[in-house]
Amino acid sequence: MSYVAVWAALALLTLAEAALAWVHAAPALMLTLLLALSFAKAGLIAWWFMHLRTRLPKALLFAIPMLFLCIGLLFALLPDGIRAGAMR
Amino acid sequence: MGVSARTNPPGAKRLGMWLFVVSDLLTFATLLVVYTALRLATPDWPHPFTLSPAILYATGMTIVLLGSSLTMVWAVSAMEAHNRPRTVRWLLATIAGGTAFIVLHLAEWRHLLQVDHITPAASLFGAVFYAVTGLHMLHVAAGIVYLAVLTGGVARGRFTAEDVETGGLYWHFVDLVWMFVFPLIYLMAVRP
Repeated sequence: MSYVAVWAALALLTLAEAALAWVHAAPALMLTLLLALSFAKAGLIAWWFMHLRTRLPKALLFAIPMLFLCIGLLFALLPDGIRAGAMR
Repeated sequence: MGVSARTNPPGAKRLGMWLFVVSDLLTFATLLVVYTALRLATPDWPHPFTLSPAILYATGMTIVLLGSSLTMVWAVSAMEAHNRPRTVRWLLATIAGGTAFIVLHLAEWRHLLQVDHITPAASLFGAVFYAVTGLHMLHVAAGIVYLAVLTGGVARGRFTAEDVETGGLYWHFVDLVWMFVFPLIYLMAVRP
C-alpha cells in the first residue's frame, strides 16, 4: 500500500465522518460511529506513517501497559461524567 | 570527556520519542475522555457548528494536516535514500502544511470569538473547546519549530535518517491526536 493510498483512505474516512454530521443520530450512536472511524484512522497513521508495522513487537511492550492505563482512566473518570448530569 | 550524541545506540532516539508520544497521548486521552463524559451527560450541550461553513472548514483543516503527514513520510523516505536536498524540500512542505493548519485554526478561533461570541469563560463547551484545540495547536507549533531545526541541520549535512524519522513520529502523533479531536469536539456539536 503506497503512502498516497493511505492518505486517500484517511481523507475518505474524514469525509465519511463529516457526512455523519448530516444524519444527526442520537449522541451515543453518533459517538460510537465516530470513534470507530477515528480508531481506524489512528490505526492507519500508526501502522503506515509511524512505521508500526515494522516495529510492532517492541512497540507492544510499551503500548499494552499504556492501554491498561487508558482503560483505567476511563473507568476512573466515567462516574464523574455520570454525576455531572445530576449536578446541574 | 563529554558524551556525544553519537554514543546513543541505534533506535534510542526513536524509543525516546515513542515514550514521549505514549505519555502525551495519555494527556489528550484524559482531556477527551472527560469531554466525552461531560458531553453525554449534558442533554442541552451547545451545538455551535453549522455544517456549512464550520464543519466543511474544519474538514479542510483536517485534510491539510493529513497532507502534511504525507509530506513528512516522504521526507523520512528521502532521508533513508540519502537524498538530503529532497528531504529538505519535503520537510519544508510539511512545515508549510503545519503553518497553514495553524493559520486556518486561528482564523476559525477569531470567527468563534468575535462573531459567534464563544469564549472560554462563556460556557463549559467554550472552556473545553479552547483548552483541547489550544493544546493541540501548541503541539503543532512546537512541531513546526522542531521540524525547522531538523530542516536546517539536514541542509547543513547534520542529522541521520533516525533523527528525521524521530521528528516524523512526533508530527504523525500530532496528526493522530487531531483524528480524535475533530470528530469528538466538532462533529459532536453540530447544529441540527
